[in-house]
Amino acid sequence: MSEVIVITSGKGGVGKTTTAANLGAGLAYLGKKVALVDTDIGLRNLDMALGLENRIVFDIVDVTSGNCRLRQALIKDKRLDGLHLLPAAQTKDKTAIGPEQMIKLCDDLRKEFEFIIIDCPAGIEQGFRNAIAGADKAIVITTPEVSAVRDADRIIGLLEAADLREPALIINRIRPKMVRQGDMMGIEDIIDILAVDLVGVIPEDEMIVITTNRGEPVVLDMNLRLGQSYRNIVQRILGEDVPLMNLDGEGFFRKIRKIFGMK
Amino acid sequence: MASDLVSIKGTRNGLLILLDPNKDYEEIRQNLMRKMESARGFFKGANFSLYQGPNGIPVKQKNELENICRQYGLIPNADKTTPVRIISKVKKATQTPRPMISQGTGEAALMVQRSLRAGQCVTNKKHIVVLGDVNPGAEVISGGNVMVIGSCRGVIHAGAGGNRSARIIARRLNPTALSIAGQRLNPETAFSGLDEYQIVKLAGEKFIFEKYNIGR
Repeated sequence: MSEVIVITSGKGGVGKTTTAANLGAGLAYLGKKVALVDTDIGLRNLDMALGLENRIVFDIVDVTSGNCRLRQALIKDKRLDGLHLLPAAQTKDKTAIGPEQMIKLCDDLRKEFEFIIIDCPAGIEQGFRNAIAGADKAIVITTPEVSAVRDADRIIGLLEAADLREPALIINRIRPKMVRQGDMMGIEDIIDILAVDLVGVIPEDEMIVITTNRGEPVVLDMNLRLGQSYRNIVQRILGEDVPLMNLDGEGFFRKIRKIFGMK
Repeated sequence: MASDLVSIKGTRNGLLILLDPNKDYEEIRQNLMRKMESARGFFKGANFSLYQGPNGIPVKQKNELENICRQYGLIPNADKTTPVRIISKVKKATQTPRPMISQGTGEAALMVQRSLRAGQCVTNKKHIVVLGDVNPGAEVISGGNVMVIGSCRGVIHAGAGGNRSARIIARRLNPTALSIAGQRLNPETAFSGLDEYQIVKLAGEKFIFEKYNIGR
């Protein structure tokens, strides 16, 4: 059984691409066959987060328009055997593909991969509709900012309307110290508004800039707390069929809190 | 072929959307969405009722279909949206929706059986009851009263059309904007956001906030 997971947020710059790269790498590290699909046509980024930009020959539009076979466009990651990237086109725009083509593409990918992770562009227009068309599940990313939470709320509404119910939430770039001081929205405040299941919290960390620029997913760095926060999410994605998902979430919280409390 | 899954007819009480009871729900849903999309807002503001044979539509599916219509600006007829009515499964096989039978105690209200998220909007000429939160960026516009069971942080307009006796009852009241009968509350007003039901009403030009006591 393969799963198509779309990673979306509404607002730009909250960490969709970084999260997609890390979750994909994390799943592949655990031996899963993973395809990462960049649907941000015209603003191609996911290849850079993985350090694969100089290997691109064909892209998603080449596949959907029949210029090449799917196999030809998929780029195998240099570190992880199970990880493959289908890059976005840089010279076209979002209208170059449609939802039906995305559904077909996802179905083709299902035959070969256990996890298909779709990196959604910002916004709620065509690019968003393409990205969610073939997905079974959605992960919504937000940061603890009012505008990001508002956009996430809008996105969750649109996902529900498109029958992608009960999306999971990742809160990115949280700064526990600021939350404690009351200068930043806390996890509870965000959950209170969005009323969805939390799949993970990622603390703000300068390392993400460095690792993303280098094209090395931080999830593979076993010494970093940041990498651990992504690995926890990967674990929870794998355990999603286990009914204790919510309890896991709370356990995860407490663990995170404890780490910060000790600091 | 597919065009018979969903047919839209105009009646005295607004639009009647007839659904083929022999077809798969998913097909019907897709078809309805396509119809609404191709109408390009033509139906905006119209009242409607859904009808699918004498056995009615399962509540969950019905809500979903209604929400699709709502997104395109249609307003469900209140008499068919309250869950109470759905329990009485034997509906007459007429083509027009039955007239309102809300005599006696109580008045018709539109039940919104979910939370309203940013960008979602519910409008109704009668009362509106939201069985969930109204999030920031969501809008509720009612000709009568508005009641919000969950947190109320969006935009609430009660008594739209000039009903000055309209009230707003909400828990954790902290709206972005609030008006009764077109009179807007000063946006500088600080809301308590207390975890209790509050009632908001107009007294002359002033807004009155009170703790809502059930049964008085």
